[in-house]
Amino acid sequence: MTGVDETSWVELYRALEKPLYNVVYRWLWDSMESQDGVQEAFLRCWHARARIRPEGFKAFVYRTALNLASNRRRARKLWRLVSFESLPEEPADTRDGAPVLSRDVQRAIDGLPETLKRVLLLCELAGMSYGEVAAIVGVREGTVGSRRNRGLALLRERLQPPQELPDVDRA
Amino acid sequence: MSIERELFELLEPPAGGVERFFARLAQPEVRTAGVGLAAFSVAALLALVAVLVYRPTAPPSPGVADNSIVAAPELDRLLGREAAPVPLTVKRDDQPVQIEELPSSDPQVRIYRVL
Repeated sequence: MTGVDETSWVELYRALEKPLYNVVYRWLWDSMESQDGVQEAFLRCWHARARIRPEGFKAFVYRTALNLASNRRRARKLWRLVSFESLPEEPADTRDGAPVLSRDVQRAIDGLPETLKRVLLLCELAGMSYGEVAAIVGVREGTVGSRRNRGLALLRERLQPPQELPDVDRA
Repeated sequence: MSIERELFELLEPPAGGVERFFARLAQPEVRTAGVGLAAFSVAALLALVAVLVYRPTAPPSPGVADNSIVAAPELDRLLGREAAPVPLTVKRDDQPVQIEELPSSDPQVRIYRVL
């Protein structure tokens, strides 16, 4: 990516910001921190631009952003642990006073194993092909497909409304 | 909105992101990783030098130290027991020669005889 000027880099950012932001947001659940994470990933790529091939740029920036988001989340959990904060779970991100995404959705996504979560979010939110996701997470395309399906099944299972129990008195 | 649609709803990032990113990009590049690595290398080098300089010399083997302490006449004096006779030697023609102490009537004077 040598020879790319700052203006072209901003254009790249403009093109990828939204899908990348949406993936990172499902890790951090905070709009400003997620945007900061996306920008940090782009800045790291900018500093490493001499080593990045154009065809590998998208995978590089997504991988960097996912690792950053994962590390920030781990650091946040650790901080909460050492500072003895007694909050049962992280506060919901709000926009205009309302939660951006419901607590149920947040809980369901947070409950996914990280390997499934990465694949599922990259497929569904970044609109990537199995091949592109495979290049980012470092597995075969077939594994991407099976992880995506498993992730979706787990989410559906967790978000299913509770089934009404049959009324035994009436029967 | 159904919960499944909400799961993968594409949210809009906060406004002004592009401008903020452009401003961050324009900031001078700070090579924090390089500075950190250099600081770590210097610290490691200093620690190595300190270890080499202040490395304690090999202590005498415990057996030797114990024997020399036990045999010292000072220990006898400290414990209030009679001092064991210590073989005395002097050098004559660069050769150690054993001597013995003879009784003296003056406590300020000591008399020795070469054996």
